[in-house]
Amino acid sequence: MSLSNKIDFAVVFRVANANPNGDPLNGNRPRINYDGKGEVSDVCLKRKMRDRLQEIGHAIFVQSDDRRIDSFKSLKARADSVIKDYSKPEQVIETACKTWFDVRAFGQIFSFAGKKKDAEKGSGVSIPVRGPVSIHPAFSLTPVSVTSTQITRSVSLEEEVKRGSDTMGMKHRVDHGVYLFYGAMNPQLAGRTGFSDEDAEVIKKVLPQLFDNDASSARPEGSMEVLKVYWWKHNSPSGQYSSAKVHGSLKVETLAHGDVEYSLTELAGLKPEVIAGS
Amino acid sequence: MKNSVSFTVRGSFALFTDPLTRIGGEKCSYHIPTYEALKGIAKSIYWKPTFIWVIDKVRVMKRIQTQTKGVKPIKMHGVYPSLHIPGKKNESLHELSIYTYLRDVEYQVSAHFEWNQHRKDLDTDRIDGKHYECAKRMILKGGRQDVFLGTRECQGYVEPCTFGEGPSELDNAGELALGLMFHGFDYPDESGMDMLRARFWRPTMRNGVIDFPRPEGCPLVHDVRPMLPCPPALNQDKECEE
Repeated sequence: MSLSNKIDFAVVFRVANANPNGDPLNGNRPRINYDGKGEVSDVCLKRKMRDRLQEIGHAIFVQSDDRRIDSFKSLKARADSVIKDYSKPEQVIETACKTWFDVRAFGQIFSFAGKKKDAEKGSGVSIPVRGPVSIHPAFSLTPVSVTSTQITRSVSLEEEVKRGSDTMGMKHRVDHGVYLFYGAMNPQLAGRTGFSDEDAEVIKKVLPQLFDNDASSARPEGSMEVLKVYWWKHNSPSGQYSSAKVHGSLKVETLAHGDVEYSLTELAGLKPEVIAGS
Repeated sequence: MKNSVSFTVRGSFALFTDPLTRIGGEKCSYHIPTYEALKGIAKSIYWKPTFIWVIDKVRVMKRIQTQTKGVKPIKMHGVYPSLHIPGKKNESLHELSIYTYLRDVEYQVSAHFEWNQHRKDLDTDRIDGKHYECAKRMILKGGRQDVFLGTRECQGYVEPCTFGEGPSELDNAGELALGLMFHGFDYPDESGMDMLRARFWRPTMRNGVIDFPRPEGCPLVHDVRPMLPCPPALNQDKECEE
């Protein structure tokens, strides 16, 4: 039985002296929009969700290479291990959705070029799966300031006669920011991928722990903190209100001394569950 | 028959990719939404194979701004230890691209639906008023499926509106020709031909409003590849030339 109610959710998290999501084409500086607000991309958030799901034992198709728990070095190899025949898209989709949690939640495009010698016949496949869980990018509530620090390495990388000169590098961080992102789960699309009510509960469980086991030098332990998760469960598949109304009913503001203030506009008959970050 | 609806769609980003810019893997957005993207939004709101959405016009409510983002998509083929091509081992799992998005967009869309004449098997579902009421109800609910502006990462919101109501930042912007632009695809189940075709046209925006030609009224059509309509029940007696 697939998802029976529309679900909307919102997650508020705090960044303190960390780089939540670097821009690979901008020297890995934290992503900043033209209005000065910080951004964490939707795929970055999905990466965290996949990692948390993987930790609690769910099968994940797009595994981070440094957290890989199988021997497949590419997505193609992982797909081939389960799917033998790509000629019947319906069966490929069914198998993939049954096998991997992230495919049934977020969707996936299976696009593989065919073998070289068949290339002329157009033997490549492109099988799209549209997932029911959609996630907006996270944006900071106010413009963020970015600190860039020069760092040095005072040791030679390889054996040399005498120590080489120090190498310079850069690190960037957001000093402080409160970010907010929205998401939704759609029963109509869930029917196609077999995303169930239990799966939705699993996602609800991992959202407050989004940054557990995610520490790195760019994001030291404790620098990323989920403050609150809002979870609106509608009473019907098509929902009681539009996502625009639901997401717009939550107002989050940062006060001068760093506290965060939440206010909800009443939506008759739809109350969110509020979960504190863990 | 009542079949015309209008709705507002807005989002913080949009990416209506110009196919010319996709060849290298980087994407750059057109300055206005494509017909096909708006049709996709209408289908996300409400759709049944009984009818075809036709987009009449769009009104751009905010001035047109772009923003680039650096992205790191995963390569599907990743790294292969290959005997024939040793160099392949050193390839990165990711590639880097710059995508150019539209920023802070809002559009009013006027659309109507017509019965799909190629689906004779569904003529019992051609009920006057039923689909119209469903579509209106789903616009109120913000769509039956999630709505996105061109690409899935640009999530958007849908709300009901009266087309032409309220001020737009482009009300006095005059006339702007936008050059050759992708209009949409002709899929076999809607065109009745066993061929996937791409349509192009030359839009002109007047004070923020763009009137779309009907799909069959596009000046440039290009055959992409043979394709059979779905569902297969409709083409038992046809052979697709692979």
